[in-house]
Amino acid sequence: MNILLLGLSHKTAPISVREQLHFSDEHLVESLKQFGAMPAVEEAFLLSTCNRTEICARVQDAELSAKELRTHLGDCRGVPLSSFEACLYTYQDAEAVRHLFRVASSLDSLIVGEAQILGQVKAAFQAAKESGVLGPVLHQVLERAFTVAKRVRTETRISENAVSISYAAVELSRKIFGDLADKTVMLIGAGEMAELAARHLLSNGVKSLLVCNRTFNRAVELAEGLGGDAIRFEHLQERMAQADIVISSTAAGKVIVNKDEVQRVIRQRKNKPMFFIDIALPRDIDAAVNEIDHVFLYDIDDLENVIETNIKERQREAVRAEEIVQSEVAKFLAWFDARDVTPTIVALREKFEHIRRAEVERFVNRNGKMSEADIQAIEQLTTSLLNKFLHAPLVSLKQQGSSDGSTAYAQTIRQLFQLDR
Amino acid sequence: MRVPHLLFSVALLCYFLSACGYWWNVRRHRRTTFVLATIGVAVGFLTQSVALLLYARAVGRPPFATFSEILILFSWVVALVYLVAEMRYRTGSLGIFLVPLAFLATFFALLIFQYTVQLDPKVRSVWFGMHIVFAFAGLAAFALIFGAGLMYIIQESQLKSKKIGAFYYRFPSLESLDSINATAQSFGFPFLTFGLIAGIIWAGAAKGSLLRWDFQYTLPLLVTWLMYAVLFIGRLAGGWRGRKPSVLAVLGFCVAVLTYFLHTAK
Repeated sequence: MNILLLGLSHKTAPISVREQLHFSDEHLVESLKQFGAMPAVEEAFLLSTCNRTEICARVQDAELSAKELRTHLGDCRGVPLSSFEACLYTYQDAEAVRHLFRVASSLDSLIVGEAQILGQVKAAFQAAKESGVLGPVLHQVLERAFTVAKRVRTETRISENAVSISYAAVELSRKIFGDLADKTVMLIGAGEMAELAARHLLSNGVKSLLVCNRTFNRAVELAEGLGGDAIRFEHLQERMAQADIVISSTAAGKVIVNKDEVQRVIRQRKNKPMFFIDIALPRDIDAAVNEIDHVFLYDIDDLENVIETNIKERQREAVRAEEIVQSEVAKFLAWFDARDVTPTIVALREKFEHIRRAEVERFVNRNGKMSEADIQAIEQLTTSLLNKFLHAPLVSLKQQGSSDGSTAYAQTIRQLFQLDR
Repeated sequence: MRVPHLLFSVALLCYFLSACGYWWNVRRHRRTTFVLATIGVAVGFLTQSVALLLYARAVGRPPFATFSEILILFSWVVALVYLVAEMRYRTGSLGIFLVPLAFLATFFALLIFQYTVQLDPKVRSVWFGMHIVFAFAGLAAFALIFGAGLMYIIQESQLKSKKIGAFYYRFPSLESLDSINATAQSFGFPFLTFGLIAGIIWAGAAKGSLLRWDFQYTLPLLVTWLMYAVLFIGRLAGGWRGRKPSVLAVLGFCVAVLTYFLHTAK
């Protein structure tokens, strides 16, 4: 098969090495062409993200080419091989395919299940196609990698649970309130993280937003940006009852929402639940607020814990994803084998040779005494006829051998001449 | 009689396998497992329906004379209410508690199964029929609240203590669980009340006195009714929601089951 993959990733190389070997988009096409121009390389594909740089190539001799590629990789970026050789991993054939499938499905990512990597692989695929260095085999590997990634996304829940603070806030809100469409979010303070969480909540159905800030102008500004209403800090208490979800991120440095207040608010709300998210440091909301019935208070540590549990959940799902990858690798290998025309050629020759022999034998038997020389002549004649007949089809078949349509070609011949019976 | 009995056992097996499926799925969460388990409940339910019809024909009367018959009927109602609720709310997780309940009820019913062809002539009355139908409709609603209430309690305690586990990923939101509870309650309590009134009228007609004050017979019923009345009013007027009514409903259901035990064991 002679597919070779070598590279380094967040798992093997520190950022200082990765950044040196990073290929920017402008460099990518150029470098791909350089790789493609190497005599040993038949097909090439280059993936470079902030977490990994990998080159995958179809080569003539895996042993020799691995060394060449390694050196060339360094040369491309002007980095001596010795400075990164220890970080490199090399995979061959089925293992290389498996690795690519895993990368595309985000099983090898820093955060397992993140969605970004698939887009990056697709972009790299496009670049390789445009540079004209992507041949039929790597093309097939990558097409299949996208299928695997899609299967993993739909058949496992690897990317389902939140792994960032702002998404965790959304996820918990959903667990408490279900549908968020009729819920109101209140921002206290105008921190960046709170704003991000509010944006996620808005894009997840929340319709109404209140922004409260000590500097009223900033509140107005943010409210306009997000499409909500600004509230003066003095009115915070009286308006709080309107809010289902409260995200607090002030720099007050002391408690600004205490238990008694929330108790009063909950009574006012006739026990409708409230979700407080305190992402301020030091905290804005009295921790005792969580003791009140119908109130849920999460601070930054709590959210981190949820994320940690979610990551573990993703890893559990990853086990299933690995099974999918494994079965797809097997499918690819089957495809690759079927693509090989040699068995078809051999079978075709054998079949014809078999017929020829049988006919010659019958002829000799029927005609009784024949001289050795006669038999020799008949053998020669029939063999040469056979070779002439078979010449054109076998040449075409061999020519097709390295192209994409060979599977269909070989299949047709197998059916036409009933080679599989 | 062997055919219905065999069919009841088939239904029992279906409920058992489905219950296992739902619990296995708590950790795995596979769509196929859920679908298979739900088909299992549906098959069990249909088998049980056929069995009940055959049984009723064989004994020549409706199947609610003995305790085991009542239990069978109860599991049938639980399976029905589960299928309806799942279709309506699509929680994907209600079966975790309701289907084992249907299984247990069928299991105990078959364990103590006794059949009497004789039916007390007093029981052949429209009022008694109404009593049974409404009491069972009420009980079905309470079974649903029991399941959803238990889920609410678990989900709420996980969210409150911030120790999220397998259930956190499976269960629906607190608000939808609470709304299932509220809806079921608003049906369940009136049904129970009608059922009780029909029972009292029947008792009055059959036994000559409207409320024969028999402790074993009447008091548990009254306690159940009062408890659900408190819940009903609490939700309606007291603004009760969330954990408190869920805890009460789960406890209430245990009492209700005990009550049925005492009430029908006579």
